[in-house]
Amino acid sequence: MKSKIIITSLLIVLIAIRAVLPAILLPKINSYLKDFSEVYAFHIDDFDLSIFRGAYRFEGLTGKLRGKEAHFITANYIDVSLSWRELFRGRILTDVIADQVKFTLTPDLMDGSKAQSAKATLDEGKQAKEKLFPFSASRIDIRNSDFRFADLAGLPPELQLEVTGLEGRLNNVTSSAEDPISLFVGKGSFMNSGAIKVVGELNQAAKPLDWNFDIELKSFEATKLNAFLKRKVPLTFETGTLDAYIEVKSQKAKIEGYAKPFLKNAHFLGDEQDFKGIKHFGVEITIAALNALLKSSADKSVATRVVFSYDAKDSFQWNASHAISTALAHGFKDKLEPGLENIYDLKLTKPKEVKSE
Amino acid sequence: MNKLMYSTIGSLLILTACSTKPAIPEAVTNSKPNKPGASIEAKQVAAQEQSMYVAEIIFKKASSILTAAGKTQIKNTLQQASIAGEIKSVQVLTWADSEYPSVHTKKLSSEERELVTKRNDAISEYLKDNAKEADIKLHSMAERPGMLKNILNTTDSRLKKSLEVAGVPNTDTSIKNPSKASHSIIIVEIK
Repeated sequence: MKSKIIITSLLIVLIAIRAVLPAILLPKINSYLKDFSEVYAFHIDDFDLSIFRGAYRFEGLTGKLRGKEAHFITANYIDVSLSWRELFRGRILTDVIADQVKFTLTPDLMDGSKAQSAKATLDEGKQAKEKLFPFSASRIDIRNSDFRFADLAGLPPELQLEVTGLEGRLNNVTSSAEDPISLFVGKGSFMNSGAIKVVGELNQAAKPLDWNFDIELKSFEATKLNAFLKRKVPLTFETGTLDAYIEVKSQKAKIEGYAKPFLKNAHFLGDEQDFKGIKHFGVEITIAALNALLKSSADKSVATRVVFSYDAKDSFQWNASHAISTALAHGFKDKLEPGLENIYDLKLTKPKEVKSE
Repeated sequence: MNKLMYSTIGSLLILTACSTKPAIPEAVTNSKPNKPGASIEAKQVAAQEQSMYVAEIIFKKASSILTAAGKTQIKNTLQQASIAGEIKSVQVLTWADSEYPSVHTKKLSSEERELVTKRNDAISEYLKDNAKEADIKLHSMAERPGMLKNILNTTDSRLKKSLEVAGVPNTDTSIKNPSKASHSIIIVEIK
């Protein structure tokens, strides 16, 4: 009888907490999100608790630069739940799911982020993380999300570069000395055309962080880049399909990698009425000539390998002679093979044994 | 047009002389650049299983004989994994000479399934000699997991679902790219 009363009382308390706590916490969270940063302001529409699942959820998240109206980020919800998988391994960690995140990188956002030092932004981020996500995460999932890049202020969405339908997972977010590697898997659609796949590893034991990413883009309609290329080069495709294979790694703060683009059935010199001027016409003529010259007779593709590197001392460099000789060879005699070349990895060694005091 | 071609070639040659940095990672030629390695789909599935040690090998049609190139790839992957830690288990996913069966097909013909069994056995034998302590788990990509396996979310069901999510085609897919027929993916997990 006594145990029944205890269980019933406990249930009533839990239901009361479930009913009352979100209403109490929501204004407090919003007050914090509004003021925690000198640069950014966030807001959530609702806060939800799921006691039996051991979870809480921020719903209808929006974020903007202070003093600006446009949101640079929105999310349907961010769900934080107890990781039962990790609990069985004796660790209290959470699984985080971010659903329908829409992030737009704009010149405004880039300028705004420079309004304070990177250290100050990092400190703000750390404080917010401690307040809103007090338990460390085991895994972060991104579902059905979009990433957009607008190179000009006020650029309408149809003219922005975008990766949509992004699905991704970052494993082992809270790493240990014995297992310092976090693995990332992602896929999405680039400009609603080509399928983009990413796999990467991050060595959290290294300071600064070491990472290695493989990226594949397949069957991308090059004409989807016309709006962007017209602004930047200027250049426009009449037809063309692009595949690209990229490996890039950063170790000891030095980035190195290669990009291997394959352009098939490309035609330039579209409608002359679209030309922006003599420069545009000249660029299109030159690119069309290069395309004709470098096209492989085997599959009508133009391809090359661009090897690049970046570090603080030498900044960005790319090997032009290799890119040109590879493209020439592909066009005439030695066809470049599509696919990742598996050149880079983090060359991990056995972690040092952690001695207990 | 010829003038344009010559001036383009001239410009390219001038550019060629300009930049030689950064150095090329290895002495590669166009037609033989690839170090034997796994496809991005295989790497994605391995990463979902929290492993980055993965090999992908190809069998000849109707054959279950492990080629020398296949053995080298598996051996290299085992070596890389053993540098990072003690090998705990190896997951082997093997295809027949057809793609993974669709939800309508469910499983391939008995001959195809038998071929997968033989291929898995060949890999298993090789692994037993080279990763003695490892727990070897064999999966047939000639049949879909049953309802119970799906409900219980077994390793077999999880791996096959991950492969489908990564974009591996099935028997109903119109474009069989990236084709996995006759392939095996070997994922090495460390302790």
